[in-house]
Amino acid sequence: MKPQPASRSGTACERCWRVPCVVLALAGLLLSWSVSAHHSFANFDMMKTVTLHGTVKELQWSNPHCFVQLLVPGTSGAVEWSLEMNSPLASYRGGWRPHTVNRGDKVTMVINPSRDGSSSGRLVSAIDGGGHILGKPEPGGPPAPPKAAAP
Amino acid sequence: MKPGKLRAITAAVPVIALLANAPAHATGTAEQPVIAQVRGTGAAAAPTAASTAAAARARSFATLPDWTGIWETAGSDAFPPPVPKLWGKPPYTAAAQQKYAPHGFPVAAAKNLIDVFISVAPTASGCQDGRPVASPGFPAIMEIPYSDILFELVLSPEQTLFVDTGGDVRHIYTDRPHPKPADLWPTSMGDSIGRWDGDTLVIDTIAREPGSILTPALVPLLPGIAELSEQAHFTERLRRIDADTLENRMTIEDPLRFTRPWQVTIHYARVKDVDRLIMNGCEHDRNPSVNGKFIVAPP
Repeated sequence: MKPQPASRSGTACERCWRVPCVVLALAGLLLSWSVSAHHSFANFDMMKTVTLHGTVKELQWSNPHCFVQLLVPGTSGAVEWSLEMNSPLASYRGGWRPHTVNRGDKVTMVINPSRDGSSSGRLVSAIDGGGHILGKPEPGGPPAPPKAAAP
Repeated sequence: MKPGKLRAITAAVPVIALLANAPAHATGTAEQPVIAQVRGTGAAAAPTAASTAAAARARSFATLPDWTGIWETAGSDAFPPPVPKLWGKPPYTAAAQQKYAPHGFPVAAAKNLIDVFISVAPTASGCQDGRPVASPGFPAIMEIPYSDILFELVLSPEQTLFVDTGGDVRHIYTDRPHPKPADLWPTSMGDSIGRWDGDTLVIDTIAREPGSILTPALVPLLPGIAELSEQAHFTERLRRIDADTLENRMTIEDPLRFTRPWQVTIHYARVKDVDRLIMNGCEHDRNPSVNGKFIVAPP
């Protein structure tokens, strides 16, 4: 599934959020979880962030890394994003559990987007529909993404 | 007697009775003497060689320091994490540097691991066919500041075990010498024995296979990382310096590559946010590597 251009960095920031983009850029610089084994995240642009507001399709508690499959509304229907987390152990230490989010949950997620332009990225931080931080905030970690503007 | 202790003794009675070849009814009212007899500490039982050895082993246990718990390389919780010292610049001879690091030590010069990862951009998944591609091996396994590379320490009179979330296990035998040369061959973890110097475990490791200090699968991605010869000899002095910190003073001698011993001090921090050792896995690989790139798209 091709990503919607309107969902990309900058555009999403300006379109969806009533906060300066610099806040999200700061999130991208500070980053979130500690480094995990298996493979690096070099295929994601860790100096950029995109904020996504969508509906959880699935939290995949998987090896070597966990994923959130997120459905993000686009101009021609929902786009499925694959958002890579850390390993189950590192995610567990980050306060995540296999059912921290479930199918149908409304969430807001800050990601580092893929360098290849695909609808994928590295999950940096997240809040649920009630504005609660998902996972455990880490000392020195990034701020939670801004709460979604009322539709 | 506490209820829990009573339950434990009651549950043990049938087994103890069987072992002691005693009539079952004899244990119902005299449980403590029976247990004492089986443990070989009762006045009625003459010490046997086995019971004496068991008692000596129990005393040995009591002399061991308490390093119980799960540990990680200090700095693993920082972001970005530091570059491991073992990925740094070794005291190469001029010839070794010319051969193994002709372009210098870019990894050692990196400010942190993120700089390393961004600059090297590995594309491999780390898993293949449901298994990890490679173990970091020794000594790299002793300094990996990743938040999911932890180890649990298990101490016994005979050996100390490092059980790692990546699946590696180091056996540090403290009751025997290295095997004879004819019985030994190089492996990625080498052969480790130890001895106790007070509360310091002194580990001696030989027979580590020659090559990169980190897994060979990553060598092309980490230019300048140390290359060790088959004569590399490792000495670690491991001790607890406070309740939540272990110190490992590692010395690497390599007469074929180094001008002097390479000394690296590594610290480990006690892990308090996990309730068990959770192993990293590759089963049901979510990001298999296809055409040299690992997959992040929906499965």
